[in-house]
Amino acid sequence: MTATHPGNIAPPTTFKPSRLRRMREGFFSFVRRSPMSAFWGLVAAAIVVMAVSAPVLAPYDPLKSNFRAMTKPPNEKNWFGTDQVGRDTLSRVIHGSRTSLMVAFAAVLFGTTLGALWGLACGFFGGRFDLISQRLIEFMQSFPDLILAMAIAMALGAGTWTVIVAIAITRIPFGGRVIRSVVLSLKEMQYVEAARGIGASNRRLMFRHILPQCVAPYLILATTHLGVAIVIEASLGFLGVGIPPPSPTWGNMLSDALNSGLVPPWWLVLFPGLAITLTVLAFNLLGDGIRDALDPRLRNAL
Amino acid sequence: MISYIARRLAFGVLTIIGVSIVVFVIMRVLPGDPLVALFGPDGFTKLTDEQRAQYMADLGLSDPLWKQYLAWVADIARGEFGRSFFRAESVAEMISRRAPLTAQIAFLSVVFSWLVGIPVALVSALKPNSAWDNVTRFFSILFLAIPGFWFGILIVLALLFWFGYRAPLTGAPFFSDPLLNLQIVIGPAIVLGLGQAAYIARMARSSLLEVIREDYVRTARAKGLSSRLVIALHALPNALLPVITLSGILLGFVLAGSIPVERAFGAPGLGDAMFIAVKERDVFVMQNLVFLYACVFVLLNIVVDVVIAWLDPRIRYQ
Amino acid sequence: MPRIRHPWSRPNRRDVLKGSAAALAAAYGLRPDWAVAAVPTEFDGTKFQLAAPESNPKRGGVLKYGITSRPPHFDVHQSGTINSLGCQGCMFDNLIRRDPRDSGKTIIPDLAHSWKISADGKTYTFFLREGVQFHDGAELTAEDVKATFDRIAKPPQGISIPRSVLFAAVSEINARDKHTIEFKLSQPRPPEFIMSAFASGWNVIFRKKTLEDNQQNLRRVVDIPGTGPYKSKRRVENEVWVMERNEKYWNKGLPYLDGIEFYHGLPFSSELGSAVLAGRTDYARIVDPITARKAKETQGMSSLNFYQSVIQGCWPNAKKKPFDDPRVRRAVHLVMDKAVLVDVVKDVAPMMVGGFIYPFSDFATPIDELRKRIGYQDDPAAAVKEAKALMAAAGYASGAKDVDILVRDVPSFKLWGQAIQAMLQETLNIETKLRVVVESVWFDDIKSGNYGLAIGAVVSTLLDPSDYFNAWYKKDGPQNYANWDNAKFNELLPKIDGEVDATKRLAFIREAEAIMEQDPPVFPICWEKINDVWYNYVKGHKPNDYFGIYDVVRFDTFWLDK
Repeated sequence: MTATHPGNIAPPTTFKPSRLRRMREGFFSFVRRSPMSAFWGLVAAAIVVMAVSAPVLAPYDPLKSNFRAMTKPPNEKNWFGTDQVGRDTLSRVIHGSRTSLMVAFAAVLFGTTLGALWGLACGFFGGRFDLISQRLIEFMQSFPDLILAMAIAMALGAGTWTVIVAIAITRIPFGGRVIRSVVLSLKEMQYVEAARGIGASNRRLMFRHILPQCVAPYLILATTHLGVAIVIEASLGFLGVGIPPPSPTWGNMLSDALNSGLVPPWWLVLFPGLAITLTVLAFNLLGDGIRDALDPRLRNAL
Repeated sequence: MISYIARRLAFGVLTIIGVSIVVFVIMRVLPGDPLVALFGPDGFTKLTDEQRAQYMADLGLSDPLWKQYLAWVADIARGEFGRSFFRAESVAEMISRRAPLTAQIAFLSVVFSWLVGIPVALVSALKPNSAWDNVTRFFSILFLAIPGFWFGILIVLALLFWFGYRAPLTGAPFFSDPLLNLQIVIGPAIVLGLGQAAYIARMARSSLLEVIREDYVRTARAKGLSSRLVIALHALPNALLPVITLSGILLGFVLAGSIPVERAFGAPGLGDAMFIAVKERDVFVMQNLVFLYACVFVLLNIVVDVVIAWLDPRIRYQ
Repeated sequence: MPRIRHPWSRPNRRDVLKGSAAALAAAYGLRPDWAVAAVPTEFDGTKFQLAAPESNPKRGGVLKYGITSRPPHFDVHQSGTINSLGCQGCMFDNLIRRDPRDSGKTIIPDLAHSWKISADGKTYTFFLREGVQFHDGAELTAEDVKATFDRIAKPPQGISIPRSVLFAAVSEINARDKHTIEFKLSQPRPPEFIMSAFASGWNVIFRKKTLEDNQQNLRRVVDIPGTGPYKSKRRVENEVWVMERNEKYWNKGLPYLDGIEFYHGLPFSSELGSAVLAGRTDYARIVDPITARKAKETQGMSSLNFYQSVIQGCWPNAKKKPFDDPRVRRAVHLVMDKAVLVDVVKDVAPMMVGGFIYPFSDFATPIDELRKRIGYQDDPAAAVKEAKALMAAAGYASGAKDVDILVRDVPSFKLWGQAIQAMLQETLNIETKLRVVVESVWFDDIKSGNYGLAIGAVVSTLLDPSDYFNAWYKKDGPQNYANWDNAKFNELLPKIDGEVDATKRLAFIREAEAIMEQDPPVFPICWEKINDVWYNYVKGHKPNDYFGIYDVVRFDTFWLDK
């Protein structure tokens, strides 16, 4: 559903300006063209920074209980309040970003990326390999993603890596299909034909002409999948097959709060929920921005 | 065309057989003792090892896996889907009662996704990168980003505390009690629909932009249809085809998404049954529901493929 | 800053605001202990007539009742969960029962109008009502009662009944004539214990023919014919069970209701609470504390919490290091701050602090006395100090590692798991790993000994230690999850079971308690309580002083003042 067809324009065959300069120019034009997306890109970056430097940023140890201050609403000592076991919610949200993003990035790395490479190979080599791969991918796609992830997580037993594997597997077919179709349409294009005509090697074709063109659709897919992975992680937690306590993830913080009686303390429901929403929003809007900036056909249409 | 459909269907059948094997194997490797369900914690702890072995044999659970698998296939063929240890009714009865509710939720959610997504796409396509474009796109993506079960519970609590309202506790078919039925399906349908709206909007937007550039729109413009809105409306029917196929695919995802969302609302559909089965590790219900979801999903994919092929003859001969 | 201590049973905010000691005492277990009224050895109830406690009960109306999940199966005797009895109880009658008008404190006639206990305490004779009909039209006879209790006392192969232990002393059951049934005991037992066993809500009377027709196993029989005030009318699995009035009920004038609709909501979800607050149900049982508070604030609604026959515990694996050492077990028991653990789940479920015996019962050390005992004190310092010394003596001065905590996937257990993990780490440097699993895995692992600590809960039928001591603490008892085996305790237990003199018996029980304090078979986290919420127009019930939710489940005296 996020398939993009880089239409019929010819890509530059040579890079005159230095790569760095080109990237810088690209970046500025991206900011100029869609300041909103650039802003959300910044938010996404900030969240990643938060995850990386969680131990420095978090005011408290996310696992440390203070039994004298349990279920306390936000106050000057605990900005986001404390949970039922007396742990600081802000610290848990910050550390939660670590686990949640780790799960998301790992799932994209092992799912979307692997799938993309598979799709690349399928599209490039074609033939029987492609045929069998396509049937396999279609088979993997015959389960709705959440159901497949749930079944895998249950079968493997609770754990961080279980959840990563479960989500990653659901991402593979998307990467495979999208990138394959990109490669197929590229192969038909004149400049690739021309390159082959003048005797370019397979390797050269792959790395010089096809791979660069797959980066944009891959990035779009990856950013979307980061968001999807975060939401699936949260849903798995809600279904009781997510990452087990006590390690904080946004998903299990939210599901623990929501499964505790009629009205959970609002701060335990609000902050992890907002964290999920903000992160998924940021990655999606960033992805949208990249799509607009890099999808040549849309660019022409504007 | 017919041969294409036949090929797709044949592969679909193969896929479903494969799916049933995968589902069966996953459900058999789940940890836990099924006899706990049958005897309850108290009874279970009292069983001797010989008694346990005897019951496992009586239930056919110590048969070789292939035998158990064939027994299950036979159950499905009889239309019974077997029985759960936890339930008095057969899984088929449960499905026939609850599936219509979930189907309604899925269908209504698609309607909602269009109601939100198409106007957003129109605004975006007409004035790309305008403030309106950004705002409407922001909101459509916002709902994609909010976890559905979280949103659902917030809605339930808001209705309860502000209006003293809660949806009815038991379901009813639409035709016997439409009012009650709608109260149950509307909440999950809105949440799931809003969640898909962003995808619909995105697809409709790029599709519209593409169509707007096409010749006949230029012709329309040449004929004097100057208003961009008129042009867009003119272009809309053609732009909607990919959106329709997307909705077909999304329908399958909605089925999965309805598990946490139905639970959040306490709506007695299949998703809720699945949630309870997962909580109880009710292998028999899970196995059949996962299989059912996969069948529906495969079928939807086939329908979508066939529609695409029907629209685009090139694909058929690939 | 002095450490703020949590009360023994959590008071709600309003009580604290009022600072009313009386309110605290009334609502939280500081009241006079729960006591069973003495049972007369001979009772002539030929003229006894049960009616609603109010003087003006109205007939008619359907009660909408919210309760947790649907029954796992339909054989009430074989079940151990309120999900069965909560909705099925009203379909049946007992031999004798607990009085719904005084929260079940007195034993009153039911299908037996009169009884006689022989002077030697070894023969119990019950005289049955005549002309009582099962829902299928058959007449109730002593043979049905005999078949029922034969199965309960000595379940046949494949049948497992948690209440069998109550009748361990019953050697013979005779139907003396069509309407007289006699139970012979191999040795005398305290009459309160035996009569309570008969009156337990679980021990309802089935028909002999039903049992025979189904090879003694009624798990799959949805509509088991009973003699009770209501009949099953319609059932939608996992959603609702609709009962209709038994027009031929033997007790003239009862029941008052035309029917009851039992709605099932998942425990710990918002369903039960939101349904009753929104008026979708008239009465809800086992709701969370916030719903209860909300109902209290709402005009026209009431809520109460009362005692429940469940201990929430953490079982050590006594066969595995480090908990094979009683000193380590005692150390952990000492550092588990019970008041904090009650507070951890305060928004999830109501609980109260206690030791190894129902803390509100006559048998337990009185609460003010218990509070002075080490391990239960307001200031945990002394307990922690002693615990550290015990650990050092056992060779774990620097703590322990890799203890696996098996936690059932239930919100309260998950919270406790995390709190206990933090407590053990902080005080004794015991490093633990939480493993959250579903019920079937939990019991599987318990059975195979694959755990270090296990968090769960067990229920008993009676308030009397003879019941749960045998089930929870005896060597090879069905719920002795720790595989605890203490010779002194095992020696004491038959004396507790057989002693008829109340004072001597209490001394034995206290002795057993002292043994368990030194060598804990389980670490008591706390004891469960139950919240009920209802609209004031629901009359004919008095839940304020129940012991458990299993004994008063008939709904025959319920009526609607609408």
